[in-house]
Amino acid sequence: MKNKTLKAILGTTMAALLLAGCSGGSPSGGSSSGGSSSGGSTAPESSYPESDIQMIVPVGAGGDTDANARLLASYAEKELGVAIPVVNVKGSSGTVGMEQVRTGEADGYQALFFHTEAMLPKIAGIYDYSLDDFRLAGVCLQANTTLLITHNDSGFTTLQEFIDAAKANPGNIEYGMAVGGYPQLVGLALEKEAGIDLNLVDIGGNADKIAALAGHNTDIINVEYALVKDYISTGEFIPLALLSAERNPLFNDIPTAKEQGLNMEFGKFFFVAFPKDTPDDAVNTFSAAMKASVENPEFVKAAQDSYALTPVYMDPEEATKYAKQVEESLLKYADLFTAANN
Amino acid sequence: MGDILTGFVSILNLPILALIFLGVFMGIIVGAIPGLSVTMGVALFLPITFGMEPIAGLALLCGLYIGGTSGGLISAILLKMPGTASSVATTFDGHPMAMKGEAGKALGVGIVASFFGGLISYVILMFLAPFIARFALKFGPYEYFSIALFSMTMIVSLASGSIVKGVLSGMLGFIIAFVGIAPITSFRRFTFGIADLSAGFSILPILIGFFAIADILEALENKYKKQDLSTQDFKIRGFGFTRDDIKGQGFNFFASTLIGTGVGILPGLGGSICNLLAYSVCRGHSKYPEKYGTGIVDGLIASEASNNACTGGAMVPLLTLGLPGDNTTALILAGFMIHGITPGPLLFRTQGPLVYGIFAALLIANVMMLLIEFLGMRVFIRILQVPKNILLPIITVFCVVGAYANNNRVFDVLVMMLFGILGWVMKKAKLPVAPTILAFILCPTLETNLRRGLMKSQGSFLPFLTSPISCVFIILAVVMLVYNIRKEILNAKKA
Amino acid sequence: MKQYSDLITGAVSLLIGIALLAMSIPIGIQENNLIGAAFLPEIVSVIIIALSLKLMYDGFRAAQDYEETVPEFVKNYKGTAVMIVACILYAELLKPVGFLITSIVFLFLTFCLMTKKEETNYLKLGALTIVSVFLIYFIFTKFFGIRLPAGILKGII
Repeated sequence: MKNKTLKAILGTTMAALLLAGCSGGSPSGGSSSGGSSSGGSTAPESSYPESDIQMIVPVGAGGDTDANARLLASYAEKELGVAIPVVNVKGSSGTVGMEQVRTGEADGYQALFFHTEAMLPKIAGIYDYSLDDFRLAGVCLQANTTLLITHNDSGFTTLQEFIDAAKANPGNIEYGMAVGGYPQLVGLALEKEAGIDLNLVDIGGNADKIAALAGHNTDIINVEYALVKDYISTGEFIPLALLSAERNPLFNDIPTAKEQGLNMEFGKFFFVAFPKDTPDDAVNTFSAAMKASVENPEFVKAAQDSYALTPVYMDPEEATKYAKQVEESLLKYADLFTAANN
Repeated sequence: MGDILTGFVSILNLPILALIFLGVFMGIIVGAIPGLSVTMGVALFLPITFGMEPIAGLALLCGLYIGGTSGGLISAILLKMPGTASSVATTFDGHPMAMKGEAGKALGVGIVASFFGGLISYVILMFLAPFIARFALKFGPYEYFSIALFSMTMIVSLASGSIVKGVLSGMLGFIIAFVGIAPITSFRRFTFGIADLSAGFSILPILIGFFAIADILEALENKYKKQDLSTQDFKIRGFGFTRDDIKGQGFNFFASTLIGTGVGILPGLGGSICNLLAYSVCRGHSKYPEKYGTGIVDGLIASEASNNACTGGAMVPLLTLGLPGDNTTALILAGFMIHGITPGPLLFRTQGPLVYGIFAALLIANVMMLLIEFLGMRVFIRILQVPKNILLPIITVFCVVGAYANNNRVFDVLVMMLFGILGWVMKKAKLPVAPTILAFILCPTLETNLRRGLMKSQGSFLPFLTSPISCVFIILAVVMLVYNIRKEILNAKKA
Repeated sequence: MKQYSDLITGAVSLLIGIALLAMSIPIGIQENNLIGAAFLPEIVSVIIIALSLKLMYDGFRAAQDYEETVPEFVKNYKGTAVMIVACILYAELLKPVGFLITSIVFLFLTFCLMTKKEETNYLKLGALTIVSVFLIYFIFTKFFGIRLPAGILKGII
C-alpha cells in the first residue's frame, strides 16, 4: 500500500511539474503550431488534436455526470496526447452548457459530455433543439442502475404491493422528484404504465431525494443504485424494481420492472458530442480515443466500482441511431410531461 | 477504538502527510486569490486522486477543503475581498482593522479563530456524527422554510444604520435572486427575453462585483483624498495579538462555532451563510453593536470561527448519510465514489479505519493550516505595501478571470461589472450590501421550500406550524421581528 | 442634491417596487396558481413600496434641517465615469477580442486613471501592465487549467 501511495505522490508531483513544464515550453510550442495552422486551411487535418480539448459538462462540479466526465477525460488524455480539461457550465437543466457547445466553433476542440437528460428540454417543449443539432462522437457508458425504491416503513415491500397500495389510496402516496427533470418523467411514466395516481412532489436532486427517503419524508423515489447501496444493505431502503431491460449483473438480486409486468425502461447513457459541423477527422479521432478508454480494464473497473456503470462503446453512427431510439421511447411521455408543467 | 488507532496510523506516514500539506497549501492559495474558489481547487485535483489509495486521495481533498475555506480570510482582511461567500463577514471588521494598522493582529486573530472553530467542529464530528445526522434527516421542506425565514430576520441586525435601508437592501437581494427559472415550475421570470439570464445570477460574480469592482470605483472617486500614510506595523510578533485582545470573546467564539457546525450539518441550507448568521447573532448579543464594522475582533472571530466550523459540520451528513451540502462536499463525495466507496449509514461500520483516517486528516490539515498561515502571514501582509493605484487595477484583472472561470461564461464578467456599479451606487445611497447578499443566498431556500411544502401538503399551510421544529423557528422569527421593530421605534423616540 | 439623497433613494426604490409588482401580477395570472412563481415577488414588491414611502418621508424631513458641510477633497467623478465605461467595454469585448489584448488595454488605462498626474510614468506603467497581464494569463491557463478567451489571437497563442 505504501508503495502505491508513494507512486501517487510521485504522480502528483510529476503532474505539477508537467503543468509547470508545459507552461514553460508552451509559448514556443504553441506559436510554432499556430504558425502552421495560420499557414492556411490547406494544412493536413490529420494533425488533430494539436492543443487542449475542452470537455464541457453542463452541470455543476460534483455528482456522477461530472465524475464520469473527469474519468473519461483522464483516460482519453493518454490516448490523444493532449490535455482534456473538464469545464463545468451549469444552469437551466444543462441547456446553458449545451448551447455553449452547440453555438461554439466546430473545430473539434470543444466537446460536450452529457447523458440522456439532454433530450428533456425538447420533450418538455422548452427548447426545440435536441441531439440532432450535435454530432455524436460516441457513447462510452451506460447506467442500467435506476431503481424504484422505498423506505422500510412505507407499508409495501414489492412492486405489486406498492401498486395495490396506490390503487387503494389514489393521490396519497408521495413520489419524490424534481419538476422538469428525468425523475418527473419517470414518475409520470410510472403513473401511466401502472394505471395509478400518485402525489408527485418536488424534492430536488439526488442528495435531497435520499435525505427525504431516509428521513421518511417521502414514500418512493427513483435513484441510482450506487448512491443507496448502503441503505439497501441495512434494510432501510427496499428496492422495488430496476428500470432496465435486464437485471444488472453487478447486483443481480434486484428484479426488473419488466419481469414484474411493468413496461418501464429508464436507463441513462453518457455520450460525447461536438457541434454539428465538426470535421469527420476530429470526430473519428476522438471517438477512437473513447473506444480505447472504454476497452481499458482500469477504466472499466473504475466505472463499475464507482457508480456501477456499464462501459459500452458505440461509434458515431451507432450512437446516433441509439440516441434516436431512446428519444422516441421517451417521446411517448411528452404529452404527459408538458401537461404536468403547464 | 481499534479503528480510531488504525485510522490515525494510516495517516501518519510521510507520503500522506506530504499530500495533506500540498492540499492545504494549494487550498490557501486558491482561497486567497479573489475569484478562485475552493470548489475550483478541489475540482482541479480530483482527477489526480483517481489513481491514489482512497485515504491518500481523500486526505488531499480534505486538505484542500480546509486550506481553501481558511485562505479566504487573507484577501478578506487585507484586500476587503471575500474569496468566497463564506468569508463575506470577515471583511466587515477584518479590513477596517487592517486599515487602522492592525493587519497583523487581524490576520492572527482570524487564523486562530479558524483553527479552534475547525478543531471543535471536528471533535463534534468525530464523536457525535451518527446521532446528529439522524436528527438532521428530520428536516423537510417545512423545517427548511422556517429556518430560512428565521435567518432572514438577521437582515435587520446586519443593517448598519437605518433599519429601513437595511431591509430595502435585503429586498434588492430577493429581486436579484428572482431572476431566471423559478423553483419548482421552471417558469422563466424577469429575464426580459435575454437567454443568458435564464440561468439566473450566481453568487461569485455578484460578490466580486460588490466588493472588488465597487471598491475600485470608490477609490477612483476619492483619488484626491489625502492618504494617511500607513502606520502599519509589518513586524508581527507571534500571532500578532495578545491575551488582552481576545479577552471576553468566549461567548462569541462558542456561539459562532456552534452556528457554523449547525449550518454545516443541515445539507439543505448551503454552508455559505454561516458567517453572516454568526456575525449578526454576535452583533445582536453584543453590548456595543454600534462598534461592529469599525474594526473590532468580535466580528472577525464570529465570522472565521463559524466558517471553519462549517467544514466539520458539512462532513457529518457527507460521511454518515452520503449527502453533500454544497458543491465542494459534492466533489469530495465523488472522490469517495470513484474508489467504490459510498458514504452512507454503513460507512462507519464497513470502512471504520478509513473514516477515522479522514478525521485524522482533518485534524492534521487544520494544524498545517495554522502553521502555514502563521508563517505565511508575515509574507501576505506585505501586499499592503503595494500602492493602491497599482494593486487595485491588478486585482480587477484577477477578478475578471475569477468571474469568468466560475462558470466559464463571459456573461458572468459583465454581471460582475454591472454589480460593481450597482454596489458603488448603493454605497452612495448608504444602502448596506450585507443584507442584499444574505437575502440573495437565502431566497432560493425560502421559496423552494415554501413551494415544496405546499406541494407536499397539497396546498395546506398547517404543517408549517404543526411541525415542532418548524413552529419553533417561526415563533423565533416573529419574536426577532417584533423585538427589532420595537427597538427601532424606541430609538426613534429617543432621537 | 446631496440633502435629498434619501428622498431620491426612496423614489428610485419606489419605482423598482412598482415595476416588480407590475411584472409579477401577469405572471401570477398566467400561471393560475396563487403560490406560484409570482407569490414571493408580489410580497417583496409590497414591502419595497411600503419601505420606500417611509424612506421618502424621512428623507423629506431630514432635508429640511440639512446643513452643508465643506468637503475635504474634490471628488473625481470624471475618473469614475471613464472607469464605468471601461469596465463594461472590457466585459463586452473580452470574448471577441480576447483576454490578452483587452486586459492590457484595460489595465494600462486603469493604472493611468488611478495614478496621480505628477507620479505618472507611462513607461513604467506600460511595462508593469505587460508583465502583470502575461503573468496572470500564465498562472491561470497553465496552472489552473482555465481556458481564457483567445479572441482575435486564436491560433497564435
